[in-house]
Amino acid sequence: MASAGSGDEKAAAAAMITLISSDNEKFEVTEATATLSQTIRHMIEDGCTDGGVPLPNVTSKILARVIEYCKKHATAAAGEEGSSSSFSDAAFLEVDRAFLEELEEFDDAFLEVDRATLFDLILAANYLDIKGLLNLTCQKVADSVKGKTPEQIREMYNIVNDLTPEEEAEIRRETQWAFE
Amino acid sequence: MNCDSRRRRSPSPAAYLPDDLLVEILTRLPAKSLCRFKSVSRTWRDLISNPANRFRFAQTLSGLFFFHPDHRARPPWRFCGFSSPERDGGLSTVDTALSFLPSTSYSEMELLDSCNGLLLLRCSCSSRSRHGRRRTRTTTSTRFYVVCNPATKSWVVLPQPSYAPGESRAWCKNTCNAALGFDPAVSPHFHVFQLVQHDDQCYDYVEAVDIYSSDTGRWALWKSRWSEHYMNIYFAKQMTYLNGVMHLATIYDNAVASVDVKGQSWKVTPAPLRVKDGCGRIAQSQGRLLFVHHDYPGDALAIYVLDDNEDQQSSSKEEWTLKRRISMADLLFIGPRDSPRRQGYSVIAFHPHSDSIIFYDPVADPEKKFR
Repeated sequence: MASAGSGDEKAAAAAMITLISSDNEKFEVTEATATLSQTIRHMIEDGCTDGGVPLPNVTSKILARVIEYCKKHATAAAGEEGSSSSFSDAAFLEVDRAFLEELEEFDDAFLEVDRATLFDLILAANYLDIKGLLNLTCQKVADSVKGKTPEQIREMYNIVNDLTPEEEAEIRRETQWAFE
Repeated sequence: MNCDSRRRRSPSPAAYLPDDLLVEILTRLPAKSLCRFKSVSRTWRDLISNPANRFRFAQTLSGLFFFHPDHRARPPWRFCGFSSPERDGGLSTVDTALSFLPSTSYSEMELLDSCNGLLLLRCSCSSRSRHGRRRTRTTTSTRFYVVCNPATKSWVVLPQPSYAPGESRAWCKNTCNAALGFDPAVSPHFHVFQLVQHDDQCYDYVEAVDIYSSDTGRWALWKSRWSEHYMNIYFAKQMTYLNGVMHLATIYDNAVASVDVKGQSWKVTPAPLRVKDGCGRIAQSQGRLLFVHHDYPGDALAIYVLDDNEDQQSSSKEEWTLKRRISMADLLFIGPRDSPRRQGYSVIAFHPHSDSIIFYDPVADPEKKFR
């Protein structure tokens, strides 16, 4: 419990959910934070979260990061719901923009991790079905490989080239424009 | 250190990402990277060319929409596919008849332009046919733009620009010419450029450009600043979008006029030196602007490429280089100029990703492709 370190001061009324990582660490989070994960949302709807939600595919190190993301974005989601009716309100949009910028900065900082952690975050986002996080992390990988050559990709990710020289030559011929 | 933790887990992080997650990443790559990454490994090649994934990837060209040379044809456009369906099935995802649009008849739709998978149409609805109970009056038809994606069957009606689309009556601003700018590798948003031309006795010169951005959802009217370079720009019925800039072929001036999506940068690039007759068209292929000159006396097609040196600061560094000069007779595998088969042959387009030119051959129809 102590490890949660969440400190949601005014969450008295909010229901708390306990998430349990693969290495048995417990994290206590608000329902609003937890339900950013569709997987957990369904579990809550089915009423099977008593005694904590075991997440055998996610280590405590990664789960802590995922929760950090969800907390930040849960506040964002709450703000958006409230704003839908006053969409045309310019002052509100201004506030909204400032908040979105802050969120963007948070996301940028959040992605400052090594490749292995980034892949673990992708796996966790996929398993927990958190669309925003999956989008963010996949985009980060895409941006980092976009301008690379196939050789660089193989080296970055230890991929063995199992194409025959003939196959590779044919692909090169067909896609020659992409190498210019 | 990172390497260590990676090795401990698995010899290859990309291998421990399941295929569906690798596809998630691939969907976020531009077409050019995708093509290149086909040669990473078998797994990557197969995922990238798998028909089940293709519709999610950045549009690599699978075919071409163009106006049917026969005006009476319905629908008034044609589609020609490049890839053999049995190999990648790329065409099955495209509804080429655009039957998903809620239009009643094709006579109310004109295909104006296509750009990287999106189409720009000008549609019209006449107020009389809509409200039949009204007393019969002269039908006033309102024209408006529709942008659609035939692969996803989604479409959007644009708000009206400052000048109503499709006007060509005397004493009106001519707004018949519009084009589309879209590059999914750069931005998910598209732009529509409507030329506002002024009637100048025999030809209309471009007075302003109305630019729509799907990001802001608004049109912005920009008065032409090309006149700072040239007296007037006379539009030669042809535009090409490349890297955030719309390029216009011009007549009289022997030049290419360009404006960016923000209406901030206006440029006029003189045509290649050897071209004197103003008979050029522009195109883009493989990320570069082409100037295609049909040299009638020489019976040849000269293709120039605009080279701009990567780290150039001033536009003066931009130069046209002759990439290829092809004799028309060789190119078309047909007889000399006046042979009957030559009639009706016309260049339709340049393949954006390879060295191919697409011609329309009225005899052999469907369309032929030559390198």
